[in-house]
Amino acid sequence: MTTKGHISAALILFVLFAAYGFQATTIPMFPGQEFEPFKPRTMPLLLAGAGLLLCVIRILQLMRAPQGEVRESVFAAFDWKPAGLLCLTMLAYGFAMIPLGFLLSTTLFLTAGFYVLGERRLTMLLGVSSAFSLVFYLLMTQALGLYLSPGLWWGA
Amino acid sequence: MWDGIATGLATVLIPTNLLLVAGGCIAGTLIGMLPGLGPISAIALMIPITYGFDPASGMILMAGVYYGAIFGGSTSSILVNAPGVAGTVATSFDGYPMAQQGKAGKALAIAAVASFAGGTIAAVLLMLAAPLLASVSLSFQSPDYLMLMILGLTAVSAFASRGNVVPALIATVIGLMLSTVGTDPSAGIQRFTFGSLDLVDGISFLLLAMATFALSEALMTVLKGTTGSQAELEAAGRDIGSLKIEKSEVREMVPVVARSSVVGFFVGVLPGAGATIASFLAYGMERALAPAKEKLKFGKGSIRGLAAPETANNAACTGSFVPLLTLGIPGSGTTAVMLGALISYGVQPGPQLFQDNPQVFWSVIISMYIGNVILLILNLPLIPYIARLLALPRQLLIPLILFFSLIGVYLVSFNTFDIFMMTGFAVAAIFLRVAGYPMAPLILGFILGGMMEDNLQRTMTLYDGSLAFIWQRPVSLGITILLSLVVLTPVARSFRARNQPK
Repeated sequence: MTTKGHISAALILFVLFAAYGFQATTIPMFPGQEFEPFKPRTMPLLLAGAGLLLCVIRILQLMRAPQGEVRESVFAAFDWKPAGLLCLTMLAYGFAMIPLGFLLSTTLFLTAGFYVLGERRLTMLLGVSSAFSLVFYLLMTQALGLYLSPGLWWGA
Repeated sequence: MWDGIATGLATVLIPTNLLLVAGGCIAGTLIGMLPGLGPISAIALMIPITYGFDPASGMILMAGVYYGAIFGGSTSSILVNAPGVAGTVATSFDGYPMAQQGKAGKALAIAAVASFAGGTIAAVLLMLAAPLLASVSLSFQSPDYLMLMILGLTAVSAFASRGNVVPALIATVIGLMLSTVGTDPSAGIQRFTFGSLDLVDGISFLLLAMATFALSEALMTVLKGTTGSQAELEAAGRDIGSLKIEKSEVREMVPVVARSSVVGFFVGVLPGAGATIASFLAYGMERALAPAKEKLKFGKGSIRGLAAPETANNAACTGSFVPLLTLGIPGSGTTAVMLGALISYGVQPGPQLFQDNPQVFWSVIISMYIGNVILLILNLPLIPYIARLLALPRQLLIPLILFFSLIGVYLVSFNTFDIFMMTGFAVAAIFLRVAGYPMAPLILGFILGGMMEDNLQRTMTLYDGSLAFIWQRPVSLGITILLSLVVLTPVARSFRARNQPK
């Protein structure tokens, strides 16, 4: 990441701390609590203040750093596409868990994960994921007696 | 003390608990060996499994996993020069050259013996130091605890930051911020829940630990591409040569192990220092102490160069339990996750643990011995087989790690909202890591956040909102002076470096 990137990251965090601090001022209090030395908003306000101060120091540090002092990382060389797709797969897994059921959603999640990372053999894609999901499902439901969603769409 | 040891032995030597240590060591080795996954991820992955256990059994399993993961990290350092954890980077300096010379088996055996010796010596030191410190810390009051927690968080940030303390301190504040989400413990008022019922109980520690470590580390591995070529990884699983260590080599190792154990233990006790600093310090110390002829061998397959960091990192792992067990304040990311696990079992570590739950206290210490023995007698012969895991295709391994992380959290709450939250936190953790903000201070801040607020509230109430406790209480004053040193030393160093003539 470049110096500019680091400054942008620090600015994002600055906004986050500011939003947190603002939200902290809206924490309700019981009548009379405002006169007590410690209130439910005391710690959040202290943290917001500390966070904002540290972000300012960080930004000043980055602005004053001579060229080349900030370590250039391999940001551009990162393989963002598969990582992003895996994150989307995880979200989809969360959405699919209840309607499709554990067995089918897990099989689909693993198949998608294997595919995203470059696996193309059909036996591995479907065979490993379905066998693994089935064994895990049976282990959890039969051996440990845990409930795992069988799926709403199948009327179960 | 002897009663305690007897209690600990009686608990650990139950067949179920012995099986748990053994299983933990093997599982830890398997996970620790995977590039990118360290002891924190290994322990986090184990927490859902231990929810039904009694606290002593849970901690026994965790101790086994911890040691196993460190040893697993050493294995991948030696075999493929890909340290699973930062604490085993120094191991690769001489371990990998030995493996390249066809002596991988010997290097692994030296690593295992050195780890065993380091862990065992440190466990004896822990047994002596922990009760002593626990009795001293009984005199601590809320202001002292508050200052101690601030010191711990600052020290961890200072050590985790690799040169610049500000990003690590920001990460700590983020962790503390996350701990304030949910119902305020003192007044019962909801904070930062945005009307969501899923956030009323706050963010689960397990969820955050899994998202910021297991999930984000697996995703970072995908981002960076594979560590080591597939052919190299497959070669690692095939032939490791003889595991035998010669008598002359043992003689050479003995003084190294003795020195490195003591160094490792004391570095481990310091908040934030941990296995990484201990291993580098021991490596540097042994290189400085070695005769001129031996010094030349360092970096090319020196036995001393391999034994020193291995001994020190295991001793430091044991040392890091001292502040956890006696003060209830974790000194490292890994012990922070363990603290979270203990709290989830309903056990509050600290000076009272020694009195209220001696069974847990002593069984953790004794399980460290047993863990070390099991690592030596069980793991070492299994290494040629365990090493084959390194040859597992990455495209199958990563989705399985993601699955275990997600399902581990889901099986505790049965709430799919947790899966969404984990994904969100994992993405945020990747953003922070890429931008240079370390994760260990964040998780430590999150875990200590609740306790810190509790102690801050009591202190403010006792002193009516005044900061007079800093100079009125000698313990607080002493900790404040230490805190100032931790904060000001790097500032002074960077100021001096800037003003030095070029």
